[in-house]
Formats: sequence, C-alpha cells, structure tokens
Amino acid sequence: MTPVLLNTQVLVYLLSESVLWVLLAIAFGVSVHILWRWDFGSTSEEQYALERRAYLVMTIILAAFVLKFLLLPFFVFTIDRLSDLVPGAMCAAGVISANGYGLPLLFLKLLILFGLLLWMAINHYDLEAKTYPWFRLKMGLFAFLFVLVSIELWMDWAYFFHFDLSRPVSCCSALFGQLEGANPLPFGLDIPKLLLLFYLLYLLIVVAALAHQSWLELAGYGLFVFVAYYAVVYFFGTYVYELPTHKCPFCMMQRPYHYVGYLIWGSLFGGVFLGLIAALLRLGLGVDTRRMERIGLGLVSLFVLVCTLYVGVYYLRNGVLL
Amino acid sequence: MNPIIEIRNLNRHFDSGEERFHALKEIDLTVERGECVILRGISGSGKTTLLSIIAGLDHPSSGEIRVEGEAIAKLPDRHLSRFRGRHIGMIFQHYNLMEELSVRENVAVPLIPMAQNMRQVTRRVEEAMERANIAHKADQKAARLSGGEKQRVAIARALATDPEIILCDEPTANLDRANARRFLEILSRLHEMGKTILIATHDPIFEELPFEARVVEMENGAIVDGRSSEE
Ligand SMILES: Nc1ncnc2c1ncn2[C@@H]1O[C@H](COP(=O)(O)OP(=O)(O)OP(=O)(O)O)[C@@H](O)[C@H]1O
Ligand SMILES: [Mg+2]
Repeated sequence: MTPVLLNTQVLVYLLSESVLWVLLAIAFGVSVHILWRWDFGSTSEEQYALERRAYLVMTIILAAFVLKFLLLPFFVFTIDRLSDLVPGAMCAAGVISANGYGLPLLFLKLLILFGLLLWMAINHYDLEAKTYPWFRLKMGLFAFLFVLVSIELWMDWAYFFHFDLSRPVSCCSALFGQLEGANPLPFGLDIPKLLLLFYLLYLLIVVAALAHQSWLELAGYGLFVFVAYYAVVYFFGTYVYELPTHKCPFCMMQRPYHYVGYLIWGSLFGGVFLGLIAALLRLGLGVDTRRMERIGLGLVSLFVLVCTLYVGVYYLRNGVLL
Repeated sequence: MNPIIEIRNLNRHFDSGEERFHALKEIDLTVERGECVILRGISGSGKTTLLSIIAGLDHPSSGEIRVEGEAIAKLPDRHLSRFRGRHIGMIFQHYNLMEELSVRENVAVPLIPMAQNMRQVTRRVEEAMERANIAHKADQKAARLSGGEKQRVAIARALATDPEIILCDEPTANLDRANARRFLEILSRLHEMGKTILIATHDPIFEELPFEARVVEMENGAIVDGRSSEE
C-alpha cells in the first residue's frame, strides 16, 4: 500500500466515496426495476408499491447526492494538504498532477457536480408537478450519473493508489507560469482583451438573465466559465497573491489567502451551473426556473465582485496596479 | 357537478409475515358535495381504515380514489399534507389535543403552515371557536377541559382551515348523551353551511340526526348496504 493511502484524510475521503457508491448502487438496482414496470396511469397494487418505493429511492439518491456535493471541496482540501508530503509540490496543483489520473479526475468531478445539480433540479420540478411527468428522464439521468460516479470511484482509488512519493512533481509556478515566451492564453488573447471579454460576457449574462433569454444565457454562461477560468489564473489570481508572477488556481485555497479560492471557484461553478440548468430546464421542460436563474446570477455576480474587489483594494492601497 | 369523493375498486390489506389481512375489499363509494354519510359497522369492519385513506393519512393497496378531483393515492407526500391542510378537517375519538396549550392555541395549530399573517390566523381561530361553542374557554389550558369541551376544541380545530370535507371517527364515543346531542347540533350547522361530512360510528344516537344522512353499512371490510336515513 502506498503511504498516501494511510493518510487519515485520504482514507476518510475514499471510504466516504465508497460508502456513497454502495448506496447509489442499491438505488440504481431498485431504479432499474421500477423503470421497467412503471405505468403511472395504473392503480394496481404493483404500481402503488412502485410509487412508494420510487419516493424512497429518490430520497436516498437526493441524500447521497447532497453528501457527494460536500465531498468535492473536501477532496480539494485533502489534496491540498498532501502537498506537504509530495516532494516539489507547494499546493494542490502539484499534487493533482502527481500522476495521470489527477486532472481527468478533477474534470470528471466537475462534470458530475453539474449532473448532480441537474438531477436535483429535475427531481424538484418532478415532485412539484404531482404526476411525476419527468420520472423517466430523471431516472435515466440517474442511471447515466451512476455510470460516471462508478468511473469516478475507480479513478479516486487509482489516483491515490498510484501515488509515487519518491518522484518529485512540478509546482504551480512551473505548471502555470511563463512558458518561455509562449502565450498560455487561448485564441491569442492578451490580458486587456481577456478582461474586456470577461466583463462583456458578464454583462451579456446579466442582460440575458433579466430578460429570461434562455439561449443567450446558455451561450453567455458557456463562454464565461472558460474566460473566467483564465482570467482568475492569469490576472485576478495575481492580485490575490499580490505577486505578478504567481499564477495558480489552487494556492488561493490555502490559509495565507483566507481560503478565498473556495469562494471564488465555488461561486463561479455554482453560479454558472445553476444558470445553465435554469436555462436548460426552461427550454427543455417548460418550467418556471426564475428563482434558480436569480440564484445563479447572484452567485456569478458575487464571483465577479470578489475578483474585482481584489484588484480595486490593491489599487487603493498601493496606488498602482501590478 | 362532480362528486367530491369518488372511490373505485379500492383495496387495503396489511401483510404480517405470510399472513395477508384484507381490511378493505373492493370498496365503491361516491359522495356528493354537501352530503352527510354515516359509516356503520361492527368493530374491525374497516371504518377507520377507510376514513384514513380519504384523509390521505393512509394509502390504498390498489384501486382509485379521487377527493376534490385529486387522485390522492398518487400524490407525492409533500402535496398530500398540503392537500389535507386545505380540504380535510378531522375529528377523532381521542381528540389529540396538546394538553399544555390553551384552547386558542390548539385551534391555531393547523393554520400555522398555511396562514399568510397573524391577523388572519386570529380571525379564523375566533370564528372556528364561535362555531364550535368553545369561545368562552379560549384561554383555558386543554388539560383542564371536560370531555365534551375537549371535543368541541377538536371540532374548532377541524373547522379552523375552513375545509370542504369533515371526517369524524367515533365522535361521540367519549361523550355523555347531553354532549352528544350538542354535537349533533353542531353537525347540523355544518351541514347547513354545505360541508361534506363523513362519520364512522356505531352510536345509535345518530338515528336522531335532524337532517337527512346516508347510512353505509360495512362488514368485514366491504360495503354491504347503502341507504338513506329516512328510508
Ligand atoms: N396498521 C394495521 N396493521 C394491521 N392491521 C390493521 C392495521 N390497521 C387496521 N388493521 C386491521 O384492519 C381491520 C379494520 O380496522 P379499522 O380500525 O378500520 O376498524 P373499525 O371499523 O374502525 O373498528 P372500530 O369500530 O373498532 O374502530 C381491523 O381488523 C384491524 O385489526
Ligand atoms: Mg375505528
């Protein structure tokens, strides 16, 4: 066994994920049976039994999803702590790239997070509607998510199992820093253009959300999340660190920076995901998603505000920009 | 107009191990708006089980039930409690009052999840206490009331939400005759207001009801006879 597996936090994390997987596996088995026999029009004994079991299964899935939701920040926190053990790592950036599983795993987790939120939203509207109109859609999505969660669990174990503590990793400055004159920004953007795009897209989102223009919201949020990622790593982050050369998405989740990374990334992904889901469900199911739309917009606005404040406060304090 | 309660081929059984007990068998029952129905039958014939299903407190094992047009057996739980709060008032043999609370507070309990503001709650509580003849004891603790008074608190509580349907399970079982007669008076007033009333009872005093009621006879979980009280 690798020593990383003996780390308490890693063990707690892996065991929690495994227990949740078992819970979801049971729910999956029952769901398949329910889907197979489901006939909402019927008032037979079997259908009534299925409806009650379905309600129970939905409750289990919801509980498991809420817990999984909380495990994502815990995962980031855990790998951040491991940076003390991994030679060469100063934050989670090095740890996540300690082997080939790390980064794909992180992306998978974000994808699953989106799926969980989508499922919870559909579940909410489905139960609100009295006749389970989206029951099959919801259970189908759950089956798909279960496959993703199974892959995730396997990658969780593989990632921590193949941890080679003797092999030094690169730290964030090598991963995200200047690459010998190469421009790390996509589409040949430079920082001013990136920032212009950042604020224009935010403006687009605000207008689209206020006017409830679903397609525009989808496009706005979809582009914004990429632009915002680069803007944080290559611009706003440097103000968090107060160091023009320090470019890293992970260090800001550490104590010297008041763990602000959790707020920044949490409000960005939370807001974008909710905004996307609100638009998707309005288009797909025709339901009233204005409340979710507002929460999404609120979170993204919080994100923009926090980023902007870091720059503003730095400027007020020092009279110059970095 | 549509019937307020429609029940078709409804069954309810209880499983304990290998044994299956049929508490309700193939029940068909239609109740029109404003009607008063008396469910009669010996102990164990299924009266309470049927009332619980109509109230949405229990689920049928199979069959159809519509109350106010809503297929309540299929409602997700969150809708069911909302439905009950809006349409159903219940008066049971054991009044289930909160002994430590005053009469007024007991009557206000079902209003709390659905009320818009305190003024509305107060108004409805006062109205319900008037109707049930208990307003003069408004500030007394429930624990200090007599049996007849407790029952009138239960009636006021059932009326507070102004439900269309009132379900009574053995409402006079713990009352002396004088109080039982008062209960009949309150029932006639509710009947005049157009409420739909279902009463499960084997108390012969209901022969004295001052208005027409339909008697439905139950036996071993099945309806054996339905006739009007004046036939
Ligand atoms: N939860 C339960 N589990 C098992 N059996 C039950 C359950 N509830 C009711 N029963 C059975 O169903 C039958 C009908 O019960 P119910 O309470 O409806 O009768 P009732 O007509 O109201 O009788 P009473 O006049 O004594 O109140 C009884 O034999 C009872 O034992
Ligand atoms: Mg009974």
